[in-house]
Amino acid sequence: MRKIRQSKNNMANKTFVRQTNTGEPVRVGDLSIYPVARSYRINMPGVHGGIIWNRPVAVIVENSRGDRQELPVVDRTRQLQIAIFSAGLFGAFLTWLLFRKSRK
Amino acid sequence: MDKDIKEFGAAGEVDLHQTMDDINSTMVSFLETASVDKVYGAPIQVGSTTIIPTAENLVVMGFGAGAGSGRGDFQPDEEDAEPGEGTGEAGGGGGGGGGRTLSRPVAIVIASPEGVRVEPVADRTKVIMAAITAAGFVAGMFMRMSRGPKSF
Repeated sequence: MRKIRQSKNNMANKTFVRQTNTGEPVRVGDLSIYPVARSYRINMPGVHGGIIWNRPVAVIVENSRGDRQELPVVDRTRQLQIAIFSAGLFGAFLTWLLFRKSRK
Repeated sequence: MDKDIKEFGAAGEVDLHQTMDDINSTMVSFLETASVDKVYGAPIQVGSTTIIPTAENLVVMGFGAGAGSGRGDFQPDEEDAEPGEGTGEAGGGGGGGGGRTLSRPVAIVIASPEGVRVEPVADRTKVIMAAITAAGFVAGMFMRMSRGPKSF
């Protein structure tokens, strides 16, 4: 796949760059599937290198009539991690609150 | 001697230019990782169904290089020249770097004659690790609070 569209915000000398890229379509029957990915890039000033985080965002499905439908790519693992960590922090806060009240 | 220094300087510049070229080519390869084809895999055809795997990836990289050269300021016949100080010239250069790539499957795009759907992939190990960590938060707070107030 090759990049066919890029956001304009892709200057290499910026400290933080967010790009949304759309790939070439994959054709299945009369459907065209366009993959969409987003990348976050952190260029550290004065340092060669940096951090690049790429993740899928959605696929756009286009039929032969030209109707488009966007199907988001859900990161279930990330959602579960955030939910569990939040529950853990909330549980710890609740424990602290209950013990604090019982001491008074 | 001047001729020698000039030759050394030229050699040093060549090495440094070569190193900088290597760094630039590595940097270009690094920046190329921010593309769609690093996130969506090649379509896999299974009968009438097409499967497109998707993954997120994190690339961390850093590198640097440096070079320098110098020569002694003292002439051999100077009186205040200490032993070891003199006319010698030397130089050196070096570079280094490191990086890491982390990749994780996120979902699978399934295209069949019935339509297109996106099936998320849950990484069970990561979820279990998150649950253990979260339980650790609660257990740690419980143990800390059940010890009672500290007396000084």
